[in-house]
Amino acid sequence: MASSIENNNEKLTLKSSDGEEFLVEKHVALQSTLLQNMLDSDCSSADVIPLPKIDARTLALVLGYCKKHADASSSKQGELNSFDSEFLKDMDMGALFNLVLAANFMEIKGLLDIAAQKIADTIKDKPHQEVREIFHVENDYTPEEEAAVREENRWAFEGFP
Amino acid sequence: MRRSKRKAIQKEAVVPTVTISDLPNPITCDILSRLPLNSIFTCKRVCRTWRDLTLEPYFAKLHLSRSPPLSLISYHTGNDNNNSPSSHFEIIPLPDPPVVARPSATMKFKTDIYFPDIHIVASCNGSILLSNYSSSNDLVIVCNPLRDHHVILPKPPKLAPLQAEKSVGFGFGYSPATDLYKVLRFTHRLGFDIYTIGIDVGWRSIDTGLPPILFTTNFVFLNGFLHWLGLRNAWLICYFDIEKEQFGSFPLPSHIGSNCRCLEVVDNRLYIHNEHLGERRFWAMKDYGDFGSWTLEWVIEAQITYRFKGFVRPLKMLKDGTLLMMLNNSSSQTYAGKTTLTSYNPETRVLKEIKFCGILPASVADVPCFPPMDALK
Repeated sequence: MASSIENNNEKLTLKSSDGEEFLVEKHVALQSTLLQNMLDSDCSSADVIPLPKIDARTLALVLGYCKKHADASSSKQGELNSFDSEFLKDMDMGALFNLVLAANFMEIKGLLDIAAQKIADTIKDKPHQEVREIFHVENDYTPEEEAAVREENRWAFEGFP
Repeated sequence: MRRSKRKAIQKEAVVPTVTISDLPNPITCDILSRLPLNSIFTCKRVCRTWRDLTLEPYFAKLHLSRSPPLSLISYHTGNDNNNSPSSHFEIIPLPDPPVVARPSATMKFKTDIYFPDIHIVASCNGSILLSNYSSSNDLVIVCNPLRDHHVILPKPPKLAPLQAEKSVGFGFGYSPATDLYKVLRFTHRLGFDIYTIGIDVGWRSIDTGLPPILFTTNFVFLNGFLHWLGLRNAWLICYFDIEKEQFGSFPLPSHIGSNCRCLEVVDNRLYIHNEHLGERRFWAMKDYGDFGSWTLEWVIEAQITYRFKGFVRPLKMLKDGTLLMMLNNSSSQTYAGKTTLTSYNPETRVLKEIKFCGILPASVADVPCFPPMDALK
C-alpha cells in the first residue's frame, strides 16, 4: 500500500479531540483507510485533519503502531508480530477500549484485529461474574431471566471449571 | 462516553473511562466471535445485550469466519437425575495440535429432542440430521446443538416392514445459491425422496435418470453436491446437485482398484479408502472434479489394521502429518465394540488412542456453528 505513494516525505497534520496536533508522514497515515480515502478524495493535505473522537494519548499510540507497520512494510512479519504483542502488553482496559474505538474509526484493520483479540483473550475461560467485574458490565437480567439463561446453558458448562 | 471525555479534558492527562459497554455492537460482536465455544456460552450469561448479540446473523457469520475447530458431535440418550428420559449432544473439538486428551474438552448441550432409537444420520454446516431409521423409520429431525433448536420433518414415505437399517441412507446438503437445506433419503426399494427444509410440504419422490447402479448408502456433502459410491461393473462415484436436483456419476480410475470401503470428506477433499491385502489405502481427489487427480495419500499397513475391525473413518490431517480418525474395533455389524478417536502417524507408524469416551459409531465430524435462527425453519 505504502509503496504506491510517489512522495514519501509529504506530511500531514492530525488534531486530537483534546487539541493536540501530530505531524505525520503521509505513508504512515495511509495505514488508516479513513485517512487514505480522505487523501484520495483530495482533501488538501495542507489542512489540519481533526479527529474529534480520539484523544491525544490514544492517537499517539495509534500513530506509533502505524509508523512501525508502514516502515516495516511486508519484510519482517515475525518482527511485526512481536511488536504487536509487546505493543498491547500491560495496557490497561480503558486504554485498550480507546484504541479499539480509534482503530475502528480510522479503519486500521490490523490494529482493530489485535486489540479485539487482546480483549477476547482477557474474557476467555473466565466465569461470567468475573467478566462482569473486570469489564464493569451491568447485569441487566432480572433474577428470573438469569435463572432461565443459567438453566438454558446448564449443559453447556458441564466439564468446564 | 461524551460525558466522560469532557471530564477527562478538565482533569488533563486522565484517560477517559471508556468501558466495554461503550463499544459499538459490531465491535462487541467481533470480540465475542473470537472466543472458544465455552466462553461464548459464558458470555451469554453476562448480560442481555451480549446474549442478544450472539443471536445476530452477523455474529454467526463472524464466528464461522474465525475457522472454529472441526469437532466430533454425538447424540446421547439416557436418564437424568430424576430418572426421566433425557438427551444431549456431546461436542469434542479437534484442535491442531490435538489437546483433546483433556476430559474437560467435551462439551455437553442439553436438548429436548427425545425419541426412542434415534441416531445421527448426517450433518451439514454444523446442523445435525437425526432419524430412527433402524426401527420404525418415520422420524427425521433437523437440529442445531448450539441453538438448542430443532425441526421435525413430515413423515417420509413408509417403507416395507422388513427393510433393514442397512438399506436406508440419508444425505443432508445445502445450496449456497438458494440458501436452502435439502434432505435426501435413499432406500433400495423406493429409490430417492427429497425434502427441502422450509419450502416443501411433504417429501417428493425423485428419479435418478441414471442407468441401473447398485448404490451404497453413505452420502457425503461437498461443494453443493452429495456424493456416494455406486457399483456398475466397476466402482463409480454418484453425485446429486443440491440446487438443480440432478443426478450424475463419474468413474473411478482403475489404479484405485477394487474393494472400496467408504467415501469421506476430509479437509474439503473427497477421499476413498479401500483394502488391499490387509492394507488400508486412502485416496484423495486432489482437485475437485478432476478425475485424473486421485492420489494415494496414506497407507496403513496390515500389521496395524488388524486392530480395527469395525470401521475406520479419517477426520482430519494435522499439521505434523498425523491423521486423526475414528476407529471401531468391533467385528460385528452392530458396531457393539469401542469407538475411539485415534491418531496415526504414517512416518513413525504409531497408532495412538486419544479418546473414546463419548464417541459413538454415529458421531459426525463437523464445525459447530450458530446458524441464523430462521435458517432451519
